[in-house]
Amino acid sequence: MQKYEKLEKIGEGTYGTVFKAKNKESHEIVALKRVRLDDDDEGVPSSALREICLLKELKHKNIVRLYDVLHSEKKLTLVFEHCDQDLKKYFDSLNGEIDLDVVKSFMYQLLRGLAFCHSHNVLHRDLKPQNLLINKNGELKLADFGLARAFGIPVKCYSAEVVTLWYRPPDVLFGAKLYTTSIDMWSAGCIFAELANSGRPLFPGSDVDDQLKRIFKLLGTPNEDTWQGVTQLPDYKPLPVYQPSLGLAQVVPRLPARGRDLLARLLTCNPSLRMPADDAMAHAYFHDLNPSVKNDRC
Amino acid sequence: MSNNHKSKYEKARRRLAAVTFLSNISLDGKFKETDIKPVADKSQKYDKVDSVSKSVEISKDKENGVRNSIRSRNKGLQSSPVQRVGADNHSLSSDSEYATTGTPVKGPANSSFRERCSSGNTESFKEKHASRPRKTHLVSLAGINTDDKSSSESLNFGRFRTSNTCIPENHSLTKEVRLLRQTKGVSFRDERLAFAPTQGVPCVVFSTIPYSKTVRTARSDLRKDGVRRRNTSGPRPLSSITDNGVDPFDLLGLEKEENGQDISYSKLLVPSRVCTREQYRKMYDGDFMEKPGWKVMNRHPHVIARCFSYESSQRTTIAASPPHSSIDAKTFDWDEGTLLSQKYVHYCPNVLDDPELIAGKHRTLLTFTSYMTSIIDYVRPQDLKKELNDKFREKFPHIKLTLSKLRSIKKEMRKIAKHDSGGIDLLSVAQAYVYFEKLILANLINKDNRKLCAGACLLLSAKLNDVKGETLKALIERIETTFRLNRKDLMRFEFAVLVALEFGLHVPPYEVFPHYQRLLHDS
Repeated sequence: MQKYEKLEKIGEGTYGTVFKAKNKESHEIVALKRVRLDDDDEGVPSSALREICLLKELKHKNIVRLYDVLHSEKKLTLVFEHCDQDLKKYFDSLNGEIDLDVVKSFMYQLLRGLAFCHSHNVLHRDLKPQNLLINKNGELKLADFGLARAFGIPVKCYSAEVVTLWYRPPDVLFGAKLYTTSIDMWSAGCIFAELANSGRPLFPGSDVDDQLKRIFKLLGTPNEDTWQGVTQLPDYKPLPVYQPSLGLAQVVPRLPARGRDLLARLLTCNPSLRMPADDAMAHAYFHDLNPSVKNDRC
Repeated sequence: MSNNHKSKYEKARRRLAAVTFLSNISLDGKFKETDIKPVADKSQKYDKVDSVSKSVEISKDKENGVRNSIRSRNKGLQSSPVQRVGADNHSLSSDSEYATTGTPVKGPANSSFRERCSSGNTESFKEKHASRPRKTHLVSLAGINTDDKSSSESLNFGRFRTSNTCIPENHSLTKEVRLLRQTKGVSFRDERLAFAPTQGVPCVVFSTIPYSKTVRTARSDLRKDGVRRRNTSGPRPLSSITDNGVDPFDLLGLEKEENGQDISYSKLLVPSRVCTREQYRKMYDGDFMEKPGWKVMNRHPHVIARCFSYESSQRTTIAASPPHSSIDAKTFDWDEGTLLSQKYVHYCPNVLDDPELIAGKHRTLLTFTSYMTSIIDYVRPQDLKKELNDKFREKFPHIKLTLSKLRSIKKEMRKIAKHDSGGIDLLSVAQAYVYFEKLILANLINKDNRKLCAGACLLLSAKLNDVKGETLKALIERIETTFRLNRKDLMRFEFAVLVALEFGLHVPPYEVFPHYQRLLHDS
């Protein structure tokens, strides 16, 4: 690792250790993910494989950049663009309430990154505040594509063990093995509410059942009328019938009406009715978005 | 309509009918769609006892049949209805066409033997004579005994094996078969022997091969294992590649790391295709979302495809690949690949392993005013294989792999994926095909590395398609056993293949879909 000077350990990724490092020539700060390669094992970990092959195709301002892949006998090092913090840490650093303009800006950038992924046939499948990186300029970037996959040809063999529980949509909680971009849109909705609440998670369930109950308490328990085919899902189980609660106004009190409308369209139990990313970007909520954010093209 | 035109039409119609009839009869009387199955396969279907007991009457019938069929060829449709009908019913490609031209289609002929023998095919002539041994003077049966089969097999006596199947078994016909044994002064060693009827020309010629220790030992080994031995790829067994110090990167012709130093692959991280969202949307929506009938339309690609000649099919293949139709003409212009990633940009899924490349010159295309039909003659599998391989080599002179080898490797990949408990889905296989074919097109596959690369492609594809845990472990083991590789080599090749593909494992659906559809269709 002659080209880079290790500075500090940032954390443990899904596979291997993440370091902050400095490029000795350009003095650029980068993040290094080190992956051990063991011949006797299963070869290159699939998460590293996904990151390399998918991030290669996803060059966008709101997606973390993969600069380099270094290979030696026993290890693989992925060199990433470095960001100062992730959204989780950003929430922790907030003293008091988040600026609603920041909420709007972050949400827009999240959707823009997602729209780009989806237009390139990639599902992220692990959206959560920890995987959204924030830099000093207030730019938000999607990171950690270790669970991402292509979705071009629909087959019923996608893994249902995806997305951190709190951000997992009800269809996947019911064991759906075929899903599409809607899986990320649910997570985006959860993150939107969390942003508006300055970092308080929307559905902090303890297990799958608890997660489903929390969701249905707010949105009402789905049935065949509201969501055709729900009872056919692999892990479907009848749950207590909750009526839709008083609405999102109580859940996200600070969010204006347009924001609540957008949130409701993202937090739709029926995946086929969930709003896609590019439609969400065109939602009225973003009409008064700071033009500098909107026009920020990659 | 002018008289001239009418008679021309009539002539063509008759020709079609006659040729179709004659060409669609295979050896065992059963219809064969593509004639690719090996002869040995067919021969196993014979009911041996039956053939023995009936052989007397049949041999008479046969001669009639042959004469009839010849007459039918000369006279056209009107004569010899029985034979024609028998064949028609087995002809998949021409059934409906016959109906439209008004030719009556009756029930199948009663005896399958009749059909077999009524074909004017040389193969069946031989068979006929071979199955009449008691009438003729058999020179020797020694060479056809199962004991000696091994040596004849090693010489690839295709014709010989065919006739051998009709030879009655010794025990049931000891009275009727004349066994010529080696006697004093008469030795068959190193001799060329011929079967001949009392009057007429020899119909079977063969040689006896002297006993050879090496052949024997090799064969007896095989029997113990119960597995047919494959040709080892290259001079040394695959498993020892790394022991001999050959690096997978060398084998793939790639840059190699030096003394534990990191190799940087930043230059490979350029997106493999630059596409706007609109283009993507058009591509995918147009192809997969907005046309629910599309799948149905293409459910029987082979049936539809039979209407096209090889040449025309090539054109359709290229035109059918939507996104790059404009640049496809240049796909194999190898000189333009100045940019590193460019060699993978224009990949057309059906170009390398053309699904239309299943029949050779034995296929005749007939175009009529309202329909087209193709006539597929019987052809010996070896001949067909050779012809297809030649055609393939002509098209891709730089590729060091025959079409039949490519197809057999793909078949093995499929076999690995298919497993009762925890197999992997066909999508992973289809995607692995894309990777493997890209490597071939990039000229990186040779005899020494093809199995390792195929295994690595399958592994990479499976990992990207959510195959993990126990399923992945089992898959790796099946790759090891089927391709007879060791894990260490496989893992080393995994990364090498990843680099050779320039990390471009995220391939667009239109590259994968045709493979996926073929797999679905064939399953």
